[in-house]
Amino acid sequence: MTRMTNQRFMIRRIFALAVLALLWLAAAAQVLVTPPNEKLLQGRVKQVEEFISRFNLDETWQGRRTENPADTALRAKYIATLFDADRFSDGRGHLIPEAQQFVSQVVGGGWRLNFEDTTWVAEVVIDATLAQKPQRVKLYLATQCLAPYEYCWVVRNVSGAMFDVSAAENPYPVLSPIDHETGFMRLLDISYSDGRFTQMFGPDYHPDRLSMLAVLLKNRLLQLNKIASVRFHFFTVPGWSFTIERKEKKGSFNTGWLISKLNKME
Amino acid sequence: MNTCKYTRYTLGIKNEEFNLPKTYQSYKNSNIMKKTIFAFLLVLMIMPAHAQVNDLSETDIQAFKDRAGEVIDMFQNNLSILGGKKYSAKVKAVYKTSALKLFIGEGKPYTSPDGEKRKGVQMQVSSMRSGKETKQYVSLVRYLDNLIKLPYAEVKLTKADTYRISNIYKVGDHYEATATIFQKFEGFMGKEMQKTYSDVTQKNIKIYIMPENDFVLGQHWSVRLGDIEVVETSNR
Repeated sequence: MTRMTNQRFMIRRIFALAVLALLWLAAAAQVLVTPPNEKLLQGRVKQVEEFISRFNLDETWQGRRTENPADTALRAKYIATLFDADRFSDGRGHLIPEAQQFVSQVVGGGWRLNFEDTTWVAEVVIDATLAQKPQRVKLYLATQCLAPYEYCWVVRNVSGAMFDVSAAENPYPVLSPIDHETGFMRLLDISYSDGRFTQMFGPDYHPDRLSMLAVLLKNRLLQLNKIASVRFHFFTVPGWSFTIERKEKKGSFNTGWLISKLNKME
Repeated sequence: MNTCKYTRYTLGIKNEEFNLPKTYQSYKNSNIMKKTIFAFLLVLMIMPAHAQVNDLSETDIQAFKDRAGEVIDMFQNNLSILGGKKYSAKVKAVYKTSALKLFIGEGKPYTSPDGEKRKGVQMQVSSMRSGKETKQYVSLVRYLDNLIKLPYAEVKLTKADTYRISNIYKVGDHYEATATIFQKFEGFMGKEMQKTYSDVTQKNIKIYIMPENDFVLGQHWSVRLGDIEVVETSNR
């Protein structure tokens, strides 16, 4: 009898401990953790290289090598997903006619994008400061082959209001033919705020913006503060150009690096 | 459209010769030989031509990517501990040092492999506020300090399984790549542990694969992390 009583006591004790443990777990689980949506993360175009890989049908949405890269129907489907649906969708799950035409030409012609191509350009907009005034500078970069297997990005051009020092029309010479007799002191009194002073550089003057940029950076006159935006322009497909930008969309597979502009070149 | 004046290697085959085995020497002038080469080229032409941006074998590339994945995992694990509230300041100091050791220069000013003096690994943090993107630049050391000092009663950092490591690019005597990872951050306040903040960030991390020489391992390739671009996504 005593043995049975002890056994019942042990069972009740174990049961009570189990209930307490469950209650404790419930309390701890109040800090609920919802894991990231892996499907959405797989679907987004995370890197520019991933955009290129999907465009070429080298890689699937899951990041694996494609089994049949020559499948044109599948390639068309993949390229369609690389368009920003907000701009290129007709609202019924299809691309607008212009985008469809582009996809057909890419797939029909077997056009591929390659990192080492000279047919794509990066456009980087930078917030800068020149003489304590905020400025916007736009750099255009292209890939450059340095040696077998070795590439880098180089700045091919720059634009911005500060570089507008073009040769300007001026009916009168800035420096008089007699200024040599007064030690060219006129140079200290020229109005350099408008562009007319460039007349003194002669008729062969053509502004070299990259040299201007180099001088400003070397002498720390121009401070680059923040990368405002980055876009890439592609001119690989004959008769077409397109631009890709990073787009963030809530809860959408159509997000990341996407085609934001498409131009049919005449 | 490649105008590189140097020799190009396409599909792993040298342009100048095919280096045929000796057993085929006797068939050099035969039609069978020519047809075989043609068929071989035809098969290779339909294979995906990846950018030839390094001189590594596929095995080496995969090995480096695997190692980079391990280093990234260590970094993510360290972040989870630094953000968690249940660890003491001493434990977090140890993990902060451990996290910094994964980076080039260990977070301090360093000379990059190209000889440039750098201030220390930087983070560019982008965030969306009222539909507008804002960017801030902060050193890695400060980012980790800020993570430790967050005012939340509880912080949960969940890493995503999804990640991507880019192609590996040859740069002089070393290699560079980019790893993209995702982390979900949830901050809880008050006794009721109410979730007051949540975001999912995409981190684009520069990876350096550099030759190093030390007493223990001798000459070896070391994987180090570099500058990080943090993008707040809308996928919560």
